[in-house]
Amino acid sequence: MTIARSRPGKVPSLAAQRRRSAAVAWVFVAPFVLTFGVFGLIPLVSSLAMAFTDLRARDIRNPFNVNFVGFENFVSVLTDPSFQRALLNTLLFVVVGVPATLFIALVLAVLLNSVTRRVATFFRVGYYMPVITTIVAVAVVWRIMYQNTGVINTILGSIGITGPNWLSDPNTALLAITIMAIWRNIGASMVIFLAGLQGIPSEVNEAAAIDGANATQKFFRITIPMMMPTILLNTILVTTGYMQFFDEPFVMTNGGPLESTTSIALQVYNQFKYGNYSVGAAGAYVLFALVGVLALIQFRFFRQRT
Amino acid sequence: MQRMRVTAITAMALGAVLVLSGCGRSADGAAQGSSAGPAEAGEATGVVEVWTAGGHADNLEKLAKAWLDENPDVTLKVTDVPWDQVITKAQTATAAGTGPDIIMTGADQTATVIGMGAFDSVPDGVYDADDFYPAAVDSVTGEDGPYAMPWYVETRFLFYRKDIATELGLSAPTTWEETEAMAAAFASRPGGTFGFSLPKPTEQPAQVIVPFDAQAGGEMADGENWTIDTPEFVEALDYYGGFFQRGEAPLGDTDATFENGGTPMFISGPWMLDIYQDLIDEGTAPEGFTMDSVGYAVSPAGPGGSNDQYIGGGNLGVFSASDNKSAAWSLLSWMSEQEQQEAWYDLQGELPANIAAADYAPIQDNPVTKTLTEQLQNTVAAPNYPAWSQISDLISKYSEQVARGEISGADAAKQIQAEADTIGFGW
Repeated sequence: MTIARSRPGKVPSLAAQRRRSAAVAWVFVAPFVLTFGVFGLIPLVSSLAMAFTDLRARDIRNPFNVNFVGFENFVSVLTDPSFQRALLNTLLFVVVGVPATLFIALVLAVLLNSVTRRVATFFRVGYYMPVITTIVAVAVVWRIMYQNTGVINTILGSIGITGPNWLSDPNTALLAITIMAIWRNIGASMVIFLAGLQGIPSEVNEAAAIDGANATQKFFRITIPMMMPTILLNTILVTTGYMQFFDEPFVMTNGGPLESTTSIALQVYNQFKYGNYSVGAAGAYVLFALVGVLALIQFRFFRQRT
Repeated sequence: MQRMRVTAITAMALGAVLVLSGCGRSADGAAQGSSAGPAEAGEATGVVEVWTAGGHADNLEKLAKAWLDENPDVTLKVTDVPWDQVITKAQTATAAGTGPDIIMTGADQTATVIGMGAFDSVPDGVYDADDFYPAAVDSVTGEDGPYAMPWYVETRFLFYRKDIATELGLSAPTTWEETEAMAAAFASRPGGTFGFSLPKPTEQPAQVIVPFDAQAGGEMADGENWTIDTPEFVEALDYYGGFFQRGEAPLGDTDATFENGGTPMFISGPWMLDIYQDLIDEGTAPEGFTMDSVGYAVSPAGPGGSNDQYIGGGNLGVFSASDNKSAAWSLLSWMSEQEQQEAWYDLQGELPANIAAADYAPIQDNPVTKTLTEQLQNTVAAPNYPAWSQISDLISKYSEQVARGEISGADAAKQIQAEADTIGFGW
């Protein structure tokens, strides 16, 4: 094979070749760089800048006509009792919701992995269904189920327990919403776990069986260690999602009763609704920092184990 | 790699400098638009673009036919916006500086839209504020005068189960005491569950607490400050919270309804009558529930002697960046006239904001609208400040604590006052 050259004998310098390929590369990445720059970077930078100003709804005609107030917005966000309550609720939701979601999803994935394909497909669809349903429609059904005379209390009543009015009792509302969120989210985690399980070579399990390991031993000594990267991925995905806890309280309780279900994202939303854009932006960056810190901790924790 | 990082940092720093250098609040705040007066009758020209809200476009086009005939050189373009997008659309238009000529807002949205600078102040000669309900004029008044025109108004009254009341030997309550007695009688009757369904603390209870405050003789603001920590507001909060504390008003989700007699009294608007008519026509209403079961009356009067009820409705303002303001004002001026206000009732069934048009025969001949026009004599608007939605949520938060008996009405009023003082009016 011959290579056609316009001027045989002259070889382009290495530097020129590199420049040319760099230029070609930039052309290829340009669509992403441009769209990310316009729709990603500019809003990102300006929202961060906004968090340090006193921008409000009345300023939208002259958005640059605002004062810098330093960390004042962050101080007012962090000292607001409603925001502190939201922080507590969000952390409670994450601390209870994430392990529960991951545990149930992992158990379901292991079970589905061990049954025949047709049965697995049926249940996989069933467990995944809540993920693709609309929260608004689902919320209506759950609200009816959680009513004083709803399905859940009827079942509890039949075994002699008088259930509370779940969503209007400040002691049970967050739990009720957490249960619903777990139900909504196990499907997505389960599918990822299932993929991870199918990636475990069957030889490893066979070897363990020959060595005389029972099912429990195989689960804890083979499955869990082999699944660590998948578990890390799922933990970070679910934690990030749960930190941004918004849909459920927004459509079910609007943060009530007595702020027992309000969340950071809901508080941020409210500040934007009131037109206090800069305070809302500050709240959003507090949430962003928290998500970042949690992800970092999880990476550190899992790194020793993967 | 190193060079790219340097470039990126330079770009970001440059961006930050650009942002920083442009900032700094000028001394006199946002400039207020001023605008020429309305065009002389018959002399409006150009295109007038209107954003109506919540399904008012079709009938506005019908109404405006006569105006278009009078003004042959003008054309009208009407687009309808859903209620919940009015503020967002106005925001986008204001930020961009391009939009329609006229924007319609709900009475409770108007202050926010005025606050963002979307409306021009109303020039002389568009309408005479004395011709309109004072509470409706309140809802279009900004920091220094009117910024829009009240188009139509709506108000609420008291619904009660007339059949159950008759059985118990009661008639429509006219005072707070009678209302409390009726709620107690409804709730404690054999088979009764609740007595009075009020908006729950999660359902913007300010819509009833503000009228209760007015009925007690109070006002939410004195023009300079919020006046929430007042004996009248405390009375209003305690009155509201009392129904929940006594278990006469449902605090959570319940299957008790007006039709099944579970909640035989509530405050709402005339649209509920259509809903009940539909339930009966479809046969989904409980047995024995007919239109004769539905009683309605003007609001009971409070300790302040008034029976003020919440006023709502639609307002129309001229967009501050409009390029055809004189024609827009001319259309609004025409629409404010008694004749057009009456024609609007015929078209859309909404009550005129112009007081003189309330005597229109079809309105007075219908017992429902007749009662409503009686109620309209005594109305109170939601406080017309951009920060109202935030104050309203504060009232929700603390009224819930009162309803659950966690704090007293007096403490709640103090807390709301303190937080409202730091928030201000939001202009």
